[in-house]
Amino acid sequence: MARFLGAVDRGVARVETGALVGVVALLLVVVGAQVVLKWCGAGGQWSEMLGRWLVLWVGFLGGAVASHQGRHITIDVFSRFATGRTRRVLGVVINAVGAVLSLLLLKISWSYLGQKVEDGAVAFSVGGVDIPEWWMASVVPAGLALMAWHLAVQAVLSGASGVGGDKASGRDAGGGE
Amino acid sequence: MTYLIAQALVIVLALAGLPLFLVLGALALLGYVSSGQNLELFYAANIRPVATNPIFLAIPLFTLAGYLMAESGTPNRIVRLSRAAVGWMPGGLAIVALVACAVFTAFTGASGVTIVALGGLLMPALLKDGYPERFTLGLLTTGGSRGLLFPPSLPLIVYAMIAGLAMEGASQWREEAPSPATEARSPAERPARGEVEKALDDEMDRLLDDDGDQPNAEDAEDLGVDIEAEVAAMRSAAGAGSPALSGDEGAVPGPAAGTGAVPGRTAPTQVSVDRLFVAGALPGAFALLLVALYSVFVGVRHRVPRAPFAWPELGRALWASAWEVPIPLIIVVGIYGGFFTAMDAAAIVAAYVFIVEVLIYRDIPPGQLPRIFRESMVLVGGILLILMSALALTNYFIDREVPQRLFALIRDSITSPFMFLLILNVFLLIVGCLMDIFSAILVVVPIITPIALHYGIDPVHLGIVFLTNLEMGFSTPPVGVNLFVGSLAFRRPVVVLYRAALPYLALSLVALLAITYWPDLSLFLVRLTGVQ
Repeated sequence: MARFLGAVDRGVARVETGALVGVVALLLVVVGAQVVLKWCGAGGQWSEMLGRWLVLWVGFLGGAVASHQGRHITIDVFSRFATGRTRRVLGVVINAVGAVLSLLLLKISWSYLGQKVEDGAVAFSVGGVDIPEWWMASVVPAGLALMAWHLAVQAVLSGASGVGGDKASGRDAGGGE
Repeated sequence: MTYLIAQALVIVLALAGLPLFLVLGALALLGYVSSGQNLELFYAANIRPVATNPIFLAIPLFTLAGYLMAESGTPNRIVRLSRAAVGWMPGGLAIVALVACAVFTAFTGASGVTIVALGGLLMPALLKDGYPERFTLGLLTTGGSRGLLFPPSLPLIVYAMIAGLAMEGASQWREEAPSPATEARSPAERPARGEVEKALDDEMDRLLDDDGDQPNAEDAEDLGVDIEAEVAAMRSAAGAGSPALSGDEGAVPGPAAGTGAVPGRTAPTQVSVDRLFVAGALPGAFALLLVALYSVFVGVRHRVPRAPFAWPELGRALWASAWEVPIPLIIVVGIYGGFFTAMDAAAIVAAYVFIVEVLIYRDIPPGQLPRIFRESMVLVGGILLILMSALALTNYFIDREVPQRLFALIRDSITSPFMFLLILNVFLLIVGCLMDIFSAILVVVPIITPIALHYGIDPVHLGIVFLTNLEMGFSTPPVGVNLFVGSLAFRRPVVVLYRAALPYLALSLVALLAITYWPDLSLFLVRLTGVQ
């Protein structure tokens, strides 16, 4: 069961990593084009707005990958001194609570998104075509759902083997090392 | 009571390793629920600024540029160039290491990338030249956070955002999302607001002379406070503002609030990324100079051989890094010269670095790009998520007047700005040891900034003090994160690094005291360039 869950979790992470890489590439193209256009005195309003919304996508997709890798920024004082069983219990509790909190935030963002669908709020316009705000903001509930999934899987895996507990406890704000 | 217990529980979970963005989000959520506010407003306060404020774009773009450079041949070329330029000096290679670390940390934040990217390269070279091992370990380990005061350092950007919000958020929040608490404060019918209102009355009594005349500059000098700013802030806090003092200006003493300010201090400036970028230059250079002098001393004392200066090698090194030399110049000349904003600089630098490293030098095979994108954006995702939660929590703090309440508690025991700064230094050193830099900024800045304003401390100066303190905390035993990264990178026990870091911590302390008690070191260039 744990093995199956782990495999599904890695599959999900692969898809979201692909999406993240695609969004970053798009962001680079958009801001690069924006710089050139601005230089020529023809900076497009929509490309600037698209660039800003893509930051939200980077944030939530990057956050989802960080959840999978146990690389969220944490304060984490206890688990530094915890070992063995205590560490495993901490891993289960922290990841489970994290999953529940992510679901709670998901619920709030979902109802907000519904309101935006009703309002017909516009994020920006491209050549006279309005891009609805909920399209661009849909990454928020999606990202939170992915985070909740990864944290829940890690809670289960922590309980089963302690691997997730080790992952979740690192003070790994760096990411590069 | 239930909410208090829930908040305490969340804090315990935070100490046990719950991701910080969920900790801050949960605290803000509990706050909003306990004051009966609409949860959709919570979302709006949280998420929307990211998609509408261009400042957030700078975070992924500068980080990506830093990671691309770290993965390319840039570290080698920077070391070669600076060695050709200053290698002839006593302590030359150590200064090379110092400068290279500072440049690199400015681009990658204090994320440990500097130690990994440059440490492996410089450690053998320094040892081979005859520098003592402890000196070298300390230099490279503390170098992991040494360039934080230089643009485009990520912590500078994050500080500017949070401090700016802490100063302006109250009014914004009240405009965009009127809460039941704020709605109740209509001009016609203002209920007494307990402690804060009483604090305002006390404050007014304190500011008025015995014979009851109006507050004036003389009183301010006696009290060591900025009267107008203080009264305005207190009025705003109590919701009892006159038309002239209420609303936006009330919470944020702007440049006009400077009359009657503390002698030797100027009116507080607004916080912006551009201003912090300019303000960090001199203090950062001063801190580097101290370590450079120490390096010269060690170089002379240990008779480290000096490389002869050679124009041809300098020319070749310059030619080899001809495409990279303009990168810091784009930022320095662009922003300091007022040609463009930090956000424009981020876009230009990211696009430029990508073209240079991938297409011109071809140091990075295209197949490696997805990995680099992922690595850098996992860090960015983590930061953006906690930023969003922190924005919501900051709004909550402002709405509940937490800084004002704290100020009312401490103002009798902490009477002068100097005393406040001293206590802040000690407090931040402890915080810097325990938390990473982003957590520290996000948790502490929203509360401290409004209080510091009451003491007449410029928020831009405060930002530099903050970051110098936290930079030092990064290398402070027992849990400074540089020490752990260094221990992994150099394969030495962490206890060895504790001892190696000590002389550098002493130098950092000297720099910190100078930066803290000499505001002009931070503010001189801001005034000179007039950057907004």
